[in-house]
Amino acid sequence: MTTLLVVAAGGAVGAVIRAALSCRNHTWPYGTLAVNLLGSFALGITLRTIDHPLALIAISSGLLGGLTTFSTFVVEGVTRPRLQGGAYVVISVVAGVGCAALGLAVGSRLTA
Amino acid sequence: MSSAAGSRRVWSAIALGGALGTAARYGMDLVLPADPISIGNVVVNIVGAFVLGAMVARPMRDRAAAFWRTGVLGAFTTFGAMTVQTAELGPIAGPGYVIALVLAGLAAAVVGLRLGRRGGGTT
Repeated sequence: MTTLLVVAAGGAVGAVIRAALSCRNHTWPYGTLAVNLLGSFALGITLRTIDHPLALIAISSGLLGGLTTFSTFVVEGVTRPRLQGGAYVVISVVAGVGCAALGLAVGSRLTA
Repeated sequence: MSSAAGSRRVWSAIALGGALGTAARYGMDLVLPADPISIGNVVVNIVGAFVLGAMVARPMRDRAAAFWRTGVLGAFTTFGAMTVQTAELGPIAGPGYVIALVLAGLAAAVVGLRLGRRGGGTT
């Protein structure tokens, strides 16, 4: 029960940060791209550096799970003009996986 | 209601929705297998993409949109777990996993948008 509450609290904070960074007036969804790349990098580091089980789940499943979003990302991709939407999806995924790999590598270095 | 109070109500809706969406995702992670890939992550992302697609096709008040779209569905699905899983799967299985999941998510969003428009008549 404690774990669930801590995870939910982390998710609340993550969702608020995501909303604060998202600006609907932009023609390109910078906010979602920023939280998804930042969250991928931070999750990679977190998984390699944090040992405490409750802190790990609060940050990984809670804060960073709530910060990053897949649903908004795909809906943004399909509601844009085809070429722009395609570019947005490809850039998000390629850069996101790169950020995650970098985060894992940096995290491994920090604990080595 | 002042606009500051209205704004506070929107932010509290996002926080509450984010907490509930995250708790639901965590629950799925607990009951679904995590090895060799997190099935919970795949399920929440595809289901969430479909439901969000159906929701954006319908008109919503600001606070309801903040709660459901940004809060609940934004937090129910996750991008970071997918990219880290892809990196950990390596150069052979990783690309196959991420391409399949993203294509499934895009398809689910398209189906959701179409069903939402048909039901709501808001095109």
